[in-house]
Amino acid sequence: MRAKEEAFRILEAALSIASTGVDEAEVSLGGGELGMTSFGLNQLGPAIDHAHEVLAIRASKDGRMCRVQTNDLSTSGIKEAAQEARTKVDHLPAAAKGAGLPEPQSYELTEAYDPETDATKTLDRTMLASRALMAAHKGDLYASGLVAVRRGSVGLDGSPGTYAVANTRGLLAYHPATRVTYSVDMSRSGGLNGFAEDESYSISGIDPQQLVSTAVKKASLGAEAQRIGPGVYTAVLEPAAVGALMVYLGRTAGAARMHAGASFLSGRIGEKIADASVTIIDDYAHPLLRGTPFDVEGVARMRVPIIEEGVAKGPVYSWDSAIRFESQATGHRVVDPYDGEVEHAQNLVMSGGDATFSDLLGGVESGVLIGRITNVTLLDPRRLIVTGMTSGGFFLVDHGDLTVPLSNMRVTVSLLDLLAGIEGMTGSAWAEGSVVPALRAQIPLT
Amino acid sequence: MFNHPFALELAYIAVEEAIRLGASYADARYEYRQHEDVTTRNGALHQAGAYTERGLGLRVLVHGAWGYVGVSEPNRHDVAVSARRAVELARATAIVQEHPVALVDNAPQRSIYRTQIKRDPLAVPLEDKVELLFSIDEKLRKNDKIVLAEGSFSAHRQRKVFVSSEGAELDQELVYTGVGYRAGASDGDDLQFRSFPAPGRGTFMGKGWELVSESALLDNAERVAEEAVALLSAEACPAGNMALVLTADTAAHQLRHTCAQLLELDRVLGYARSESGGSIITTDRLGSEKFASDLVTIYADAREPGGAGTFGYDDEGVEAQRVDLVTDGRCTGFLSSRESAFRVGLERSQGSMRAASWGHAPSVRVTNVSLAPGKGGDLDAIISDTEDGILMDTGSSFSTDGDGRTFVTTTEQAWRIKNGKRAGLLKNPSFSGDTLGVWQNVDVVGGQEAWQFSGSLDQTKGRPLQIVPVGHGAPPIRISDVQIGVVPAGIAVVPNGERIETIGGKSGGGRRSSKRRGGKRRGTRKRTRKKDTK
Repeated sequence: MRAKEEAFRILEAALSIASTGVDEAEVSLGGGELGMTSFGLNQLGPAIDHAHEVLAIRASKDGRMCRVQTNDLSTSGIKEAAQEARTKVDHLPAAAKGAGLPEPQSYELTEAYDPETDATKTLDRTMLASRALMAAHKGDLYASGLVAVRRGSVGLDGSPGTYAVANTRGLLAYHPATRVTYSVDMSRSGGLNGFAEDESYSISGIDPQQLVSTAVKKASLGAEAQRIGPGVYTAVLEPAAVGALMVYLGRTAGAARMHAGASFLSGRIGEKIADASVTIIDDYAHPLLRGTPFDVEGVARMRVPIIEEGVAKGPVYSWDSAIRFESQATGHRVVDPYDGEVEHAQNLVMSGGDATFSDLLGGVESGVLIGRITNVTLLDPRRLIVTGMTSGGFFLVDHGDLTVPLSNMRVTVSLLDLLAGIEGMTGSAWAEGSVVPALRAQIPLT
Repeated sequence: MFNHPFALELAYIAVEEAIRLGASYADARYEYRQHEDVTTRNGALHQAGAYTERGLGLRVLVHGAWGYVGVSEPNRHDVAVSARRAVELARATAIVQEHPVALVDNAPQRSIYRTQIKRDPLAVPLEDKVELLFSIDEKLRKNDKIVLAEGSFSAHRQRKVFVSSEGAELDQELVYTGVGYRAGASDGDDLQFRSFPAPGRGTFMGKGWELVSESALLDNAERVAEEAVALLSAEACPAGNMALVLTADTAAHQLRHTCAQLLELDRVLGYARSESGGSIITTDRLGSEKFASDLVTIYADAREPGGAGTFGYDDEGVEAQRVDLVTDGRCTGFLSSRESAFRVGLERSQGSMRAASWGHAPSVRVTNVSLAPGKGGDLDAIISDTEDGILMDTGSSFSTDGDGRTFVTTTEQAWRIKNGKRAGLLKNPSFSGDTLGVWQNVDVVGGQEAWQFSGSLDQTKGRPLQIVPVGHGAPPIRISDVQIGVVPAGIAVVPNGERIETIGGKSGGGRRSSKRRGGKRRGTRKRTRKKDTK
């Protein structure tokens, strides 16, 4: 990730080259550095350093637009990319018209860069990982997990993202960021495991010892997992479980999907779709998220209420769909590794409640605790039916006490049903890229 | 542009510098990657993009620990610095490395490999691609119930130069093309999708522009739209245990998601658990324990012409080869790397190390994993042989647990089979079960005449996420006694916690036996061709 002045200098030079011979142009920088130390079965995997920066050029002519991306940021590399963009846009048929480039925006910046994190060394990552390995040896457990430090807009999925944008209409944006992820899964023979994960823009915001202790504690509760039969159970879902289910709420909250009838919001704006205690907004600026204040084309991100006090409020919009559906752009065009350029709500914040975690457990006469849900898949976008497997701490609860660990089971649930039947919530915490509470609800398990 | 002498020089500098700094082994992979994406949605061009990048990945072994550095658009100075960095990374890791990494011997190769294509997909003018997708879009949206029409084309070229400290020097050019579309139909309440030739971004193969003409995209567009609309008025797929027939592409989907990845040796050994999950398969099963029914033979072949998982050499320089993974139902091999092969005592790697790009360290990955054809004839023969069951078509999503022990699969459409005939279209089909149990219940495997080979770009693994193209071939199959429907009927009315019970409990719920003890399997007709069931 480059400093602001250097990034703007590159963007200015690139824009000058890219705007020649076309009506309008946009240039953006994405990527940065990703350092990762992973471990599995008490063994360290390859320590990885990955530096990747890309320059994207969007050229527009007669309303037609195409994108060309390169990692050659030399003048000749930029000229080559600009020439390719001009050639491609000339070859687009007249019918391929888009919405054009965004106007200049004003941004509400977030403090997402931490110099101490930027200065983190490989050995620091090794030492952080070794805390999990030592605890595993001590507890006769197997540790798996990772320590990742990112600089710039690079995602944990390796996608470059965008950290600086400029276009010929005068739009100019820059956002520096650092990010640390610590993830640990402790397991013992017999399949029991405990999971803990946290993420912060600052390395001082992560407490590895606490995370390791949590994972060890869960993996050490009981010796042998037991089975329970399929049924609907009173369940306490920890934030990691709630966060995993919420991912598809964000992925189906785009305006284009909603207008095509492929969203839980389709035809339901203004209707009550969840319990009155449920408010979910997309908020890049939340202190636990500190996301980029603009999207891939530099449109300012807005805080968007998706569900407010149980009522469906609205989708998120890209520049393109805001024009098409005559609404306001909310800065939600993202590049997805699978789906390409789409509208996603990636910074979900669900308001919590007043209950403590003990309150939630204490209210369970007979039920389960679900620590995490993995391998989640969307089955029905309109009813938000998702399916996934319990993992990382699944326990039988008897009169508020965790009694025995359980063999993992499948959760298949309509998120709308879940949100309509919440029996209690704690305050919210970071989990799986969202900020969500632990909650208690009736959950079908098979 | 790709400059081969320069790429080779950089790779050698990186490797030699790493060895000079104390590495016991080093390999460098310089890649030049080009990629084009075009997507349309409801009559508009949604995305037209071209992506080019060069980079070098350097992997070093120091004191039995790995270090990996990926460097973007490198020059001579950059790669020398990368070598120092990679050695530092490995040294830092070695401090707490309990079991030093060791590699099996695979003879270093010096060779050239090129994907055989008829027409370079990146050289085809952009307007041809956009116009093709617009023509498909127009046909899909002729029907006024189609609310979402999406088309997708992508083309990729990867030029790779690989050099190792053992003397390997390889030059490969891999070319891929992907194309497909889907139609979403709605009546205001329901939404149903059909896709062609495959869901997601379509089919993806190691072919050139010829894939487009081979796929009959325009010829099928109106049919696909009509099928999506027909699903709106179809009955919901019933739940319960019965015989399940899978079309060839759905069998391949099932193979890809519930079998192929479980045979990656780093998963089997547990080293990939944090990033990718584990595997229910253990090395103890090799050659003995049953994975599937006797009718099931599964192999990986990274040499299959046109395969999305086809290459000349893997990303640690091992020659592409065929591996028999499951033979007559028994696990007989794994997808491996040089490191994982050493850990289990194999003499050599089976050549399955793949990286999504120069920026990623390679890991053990699926190549082209296929289910060998059996003697069950074509799809019609299998249907006519089925008294009562469900036929499912076009696998659309799946979910497994971390070890692949259980799964849920959904498909786009299904039909009831009654007395050997399709009895009615069904929507929202799904099936689930324990992986081994379902593979062990395969009782018909279709023949060569119905075997289909395709590919996809949706196989993910690791953090950072790596998506690599994989190929998969399969004939239609039949599986007896499968749980149709994600949630068993009646479960929603069970009161709070009432059915909680532990293993060995008195009744209900719990584990369903994956094998019937005898007698006729539910829903299947008595086979008239005994050789079909061996």
